[in-house]
Amino acid sequence: MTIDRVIRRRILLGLLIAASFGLLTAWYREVDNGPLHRAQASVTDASVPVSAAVQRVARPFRDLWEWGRGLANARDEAQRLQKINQQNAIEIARMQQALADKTDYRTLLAFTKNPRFSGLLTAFTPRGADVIERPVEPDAVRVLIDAGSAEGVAKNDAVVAGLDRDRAALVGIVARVNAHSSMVTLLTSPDFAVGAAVPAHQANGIVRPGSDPGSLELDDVQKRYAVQVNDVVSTSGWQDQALGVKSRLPAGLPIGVATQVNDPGDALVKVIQVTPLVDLDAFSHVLVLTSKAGASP
Amino acid sequence: MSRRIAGSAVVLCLAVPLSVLLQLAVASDLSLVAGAPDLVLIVVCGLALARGPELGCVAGFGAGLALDALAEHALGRDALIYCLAGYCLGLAGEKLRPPAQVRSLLLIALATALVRIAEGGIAFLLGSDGAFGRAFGVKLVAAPAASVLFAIPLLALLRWVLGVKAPPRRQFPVPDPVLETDDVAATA
Repeated sequence: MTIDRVIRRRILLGLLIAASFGLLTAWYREVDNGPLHRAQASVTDASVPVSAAVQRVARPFRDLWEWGRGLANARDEAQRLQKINQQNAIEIARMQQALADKTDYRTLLAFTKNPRFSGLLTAFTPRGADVIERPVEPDAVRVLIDAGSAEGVAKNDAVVAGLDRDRAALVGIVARVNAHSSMVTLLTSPDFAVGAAVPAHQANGIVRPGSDPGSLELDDVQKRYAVQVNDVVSTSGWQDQALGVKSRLPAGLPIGVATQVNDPGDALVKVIQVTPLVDLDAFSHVLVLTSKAGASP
Repeated sequence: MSRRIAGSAVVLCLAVPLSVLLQLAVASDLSLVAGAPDLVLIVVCGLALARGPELGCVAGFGAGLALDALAEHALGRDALIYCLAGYCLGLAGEKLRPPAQVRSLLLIALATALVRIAEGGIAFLLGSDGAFGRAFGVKLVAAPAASVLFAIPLLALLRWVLGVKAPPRRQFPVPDPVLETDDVAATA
């Protein structure tokens, strides 16, 4: 290679570098509508149709590239989306559970504020609790809740669960109390019995588990009371002023509805089949009606 | 000679402007991972490797200036970078034995990375915060990889247009067969 050629190419490079620096300097030193800026804008405007044409021509190739790339990434994408779906499913389940919990809590809270019941609860302090253990066999008769003596729960306290907007019904009574948990005996337990009444007819009796699993019976109802199907059966909240004792359960707490009235001709009392208002296999949040003053069971 | 001039003219007048337009219009959509191929650099590289640093730096300056004008950069920024790239690639090309396919691709990868760093450096010098740091991201590996991928067919096409032919294979001297002494004795 000749020395002239080396010098020539270096001069050319120097000139082009100088031109670049000159352009850069001029571009930065001039105002926004200076000649270089205007020239740049003109070139950009002039290139728009050409750019559009290039875009149009290149579109099929670009789409082909995107398709190929998408195909290559399809498996990874599918796995990624599957993982997102699983996460979303978990999140949805968690949110649905939270929504159900919230609905339950709102029902129980509304129950405590419902004027029909709040009058009954003056001597009680409602304590919220969650069911933390439920035997797996059907028609289980005991559940464990996460409130105990530390929260003011005592043996024989009434336990209620929400029904709908602002109603709750008895599900059982506290049978055993630990420091931070309690065992609740449900209405359908063989050893459960509670004084009950049909308020519509002033008829009193005792609710006990029925002969069929999951059913209740209100017996010892005198024949003169015309109890009918669909009448609501609730706690009687008995008290004996002479002895100075009273039930730990408030009067008027719904238990169930009468589904059949048996009135055998030769018997002295009626036996009424009662269906509990609460599905005893499904509730998860309860209120324990703890006594404000130490009432006797 | 006329084939050589015609090839250079086609690349300068057709391939370089087309590469600028494609670079601005579609290159960003052809990205691999995070880096887009530098089609302009591939064309400048093809020309510089085949024709030397003079044409390389002129093509680089022109292409860079067009990029500056169309992409609305500061005028002269890419012109400076691509001009230097074309010159250096031309110098490297003089030391390679054409077509030197693998080494050409390595040069393109190296040049793409250096161009990215230079762009970040100039942007930083001109006051763009963080531009230099961004130049050292994943793009520094992904952009050269994408450029190499696209350079494989493009360089072959450019070589064909520019009329670059592979020189004949080297002929290594083959030693004459040596006769065994026993065979010589038997012959005697």
